[in-house]
Amino acid sequence: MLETTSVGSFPKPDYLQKARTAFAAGKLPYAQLHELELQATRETIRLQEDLGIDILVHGEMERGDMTTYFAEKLVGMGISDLVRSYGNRYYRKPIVAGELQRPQPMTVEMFKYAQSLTSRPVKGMLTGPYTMCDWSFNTHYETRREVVLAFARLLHEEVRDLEAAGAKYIQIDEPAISTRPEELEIAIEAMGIVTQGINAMTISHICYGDFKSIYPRLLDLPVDQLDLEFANSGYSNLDVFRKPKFTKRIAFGVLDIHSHRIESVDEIVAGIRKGLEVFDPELMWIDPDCGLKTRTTAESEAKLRNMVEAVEVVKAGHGLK
Amino acid sequence: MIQTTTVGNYPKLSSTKGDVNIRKMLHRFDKGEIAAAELTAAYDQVTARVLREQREAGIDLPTDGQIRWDDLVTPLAARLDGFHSGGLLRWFDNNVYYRRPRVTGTVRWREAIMAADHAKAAREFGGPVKAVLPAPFSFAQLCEDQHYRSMETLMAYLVSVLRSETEALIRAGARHIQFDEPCLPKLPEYGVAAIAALNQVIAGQSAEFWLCFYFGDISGLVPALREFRGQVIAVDCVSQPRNLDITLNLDSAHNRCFGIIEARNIKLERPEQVRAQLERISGRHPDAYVSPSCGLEFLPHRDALAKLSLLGSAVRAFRGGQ
Repeated sequence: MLETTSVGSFPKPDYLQKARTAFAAGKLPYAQLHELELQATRETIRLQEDLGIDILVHGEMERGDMTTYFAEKLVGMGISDLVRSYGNRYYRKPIVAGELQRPQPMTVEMFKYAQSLTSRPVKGMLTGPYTMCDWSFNTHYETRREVVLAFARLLHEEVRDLEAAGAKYIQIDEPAISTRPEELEIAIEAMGIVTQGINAMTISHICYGDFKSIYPRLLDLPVDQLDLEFANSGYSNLDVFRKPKFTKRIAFGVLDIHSHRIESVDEIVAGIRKGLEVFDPELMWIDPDCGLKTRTTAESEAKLRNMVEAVEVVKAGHGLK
Repeated sequence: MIQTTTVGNYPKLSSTKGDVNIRKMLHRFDKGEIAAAELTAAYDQVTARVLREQREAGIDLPTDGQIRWDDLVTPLAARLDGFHSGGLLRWFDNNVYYRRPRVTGTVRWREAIMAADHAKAAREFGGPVKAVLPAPFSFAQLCEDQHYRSMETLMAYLVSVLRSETEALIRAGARHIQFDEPCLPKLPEYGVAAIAALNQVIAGQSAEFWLCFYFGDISGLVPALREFRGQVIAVDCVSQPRNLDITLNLDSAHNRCFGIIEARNIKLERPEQVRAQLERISGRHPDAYVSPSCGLEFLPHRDALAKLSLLGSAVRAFRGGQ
C-alpha cells in the first residue's frame, strides 16, 4: 500500500561521467569503467535505502540511453550518430540493420550485483519491444510489426533469465506506446510474448504521451502494473483514468523530473490525494514521473526525500499505516 | 521545371570535425562561460553551414534549418505576450519532445521575431530562403489554453499575431512563407475553419504562401484545400503514401510540393525509385517542388546530407534527361 519506488535511472556521478567520456575516447579500459559503474550502483542503492524507499532500482549506471544500451548488446543492431530528442539533448539512435539475436543476457549480472547489496527488492529493468522498435531506425525488416515481435522474443528470454536470477519485479518500459494508437494492438501482442509464463510482478512505465488516445485499451497490456507520469502535467491527465475504472496496479508519478524545482511535501501530498480519488490505495505505488538521470544527485535526493515524507503524511492522514 | 526545397528543420550538430558544435556552445552559455553575442555568432555560423550544404546538394529553395528553434511553436510563444512554458509532450509520433506552451493571458505580438534572422539567412544564401511559421490551427492545437478556453478565440488571437509576424517577414524581404499544419490531417473536421484562419493571416499580403502538411493522411481535407488562398500546397507523401495520388489529383490551381524522400528513416531511397516518382509528378505538374517528407532533424547529420544529396542529384539528372 503506497509503496515508494523509482522509475529507473539515477544521475551519474561526475567521476562516472568523466570515466564514460574517457572510455569512449579509448583512454580508459573497460575494467576500470566497470569498477566505477559498480561503485555508483552501490551509492545509488545506499541512497535509496537511506531515504527509506521500498522497492529499489539499480540506477542504470552502466547505461547511456535506454534503447542504445540494448542496441549495443544485440546482434543485428547498429548505432547512429547523434539525433536530438528535445531542447539541447541528443542521443545515438539504434539501427535495426539485420536479423535480431541475443547472444547472451544483457541485464542479469548488474541486477544480481545490485540485489546482492540490499535486502530490499530491486527491480529488473528493460526497454519494451514496441519502444525498441519505435526509437530505432529500421533498414532490415519489411514491417514495423516484424521488428516489434523480433524484439519481443528476445526480451522474453531476458525476462526469463531475470526471473531465474531472483527478480521479483520486472519492469519493461514502453514510453513510446501511445505514439501511434493504431499500433497499440501490436504493442499488446508483443508484451504478451515478453511476459508469457512469468511469475514475477511485471510493470510497464509509460510517460509523456497522449494517454487519452489509448485508454482504456491500455488496460489490456499484459503486465501487472502500469507506471505513469502525472506531476509533469499538473495531474491534468488523471481525468483520463476515472472512467472506466482502472483495473491494474498503478505506480503514480509525483515528481516532475524535468524540473530543477524541488516539490514540497505539501505539494506531493496534494498530488497523491488527487491520485487516491481515482486509484485504489491498495494497488498504488508512489514514484517520480520518470527516470532521474537528468537531475543532479542533490536534486534527486531532495525530491525523493520529500516524496517519502509525503507518503508518510498521506498514510497517517488516511489511517493507512 | 521541377524544383527542390526543404521543409523546415535540419540537424543542428554536424558530423564533420571542426564545425561549430552548437550543443557545446549552449552548455557553455548556460554555465555563463560565453556571452550572448558568442552564442549568436555560433548560431549564425551553423545556419551558414546549413545553407551552404543545401546549396551544394542542389536545393533550389532552402529554409534556414531552424537552427535557433527547438520546435515549431515554442520559439514564437516565448516572444509573444500571453504565454508561459509548459510540460514536455511528444512531438507527434516521433521520439522527440517539446515544451507545450501554456496560454495564460491575452496573446499579443510585441516585436518581429524571425525577420532579422530571415534577412541574414537570405543574404548568406544569396537568394530566396523560405520562411516557416506554424499555421494558426496547429499553433492553437499545440498549446495548452488555460486562458481563453476556446479554440476559436485562441485561434483568432493567433491569426492576429501571425499576421503581424508575416508582415514583418515580408518587410524583411521574405518572398516565400510556409505555414505548417501538422495537426490538421488528424482533425479534418476543422479543415474549413483552419484554412479560413490561415486565409485571414495572408489576406492582402504579397508573397508566395505555402500550406504544408506532414505526418498525416490528407484525404479528409480535399474539399477544404481548394479554399486555400495561397499558392503552394506541400504534402508528406511518405508517412501516408496515398497522399501522393491525392496531391497529384487535387482539383485546384495551386502549385504543389511533394515530400517524397523519407526524412524519418536513414534507409536511402533507390535513385530509380525517386526518378519514377519525378516522372509521375512532372507529367501532371511540371513546375512542382519536391522535398524530403518533413524536416530533416529526425536524422543524424550525415544521413540528412545523404538524403538531400540524393534528392538534389536525382532532380539534376531528371532535368538533364528531359
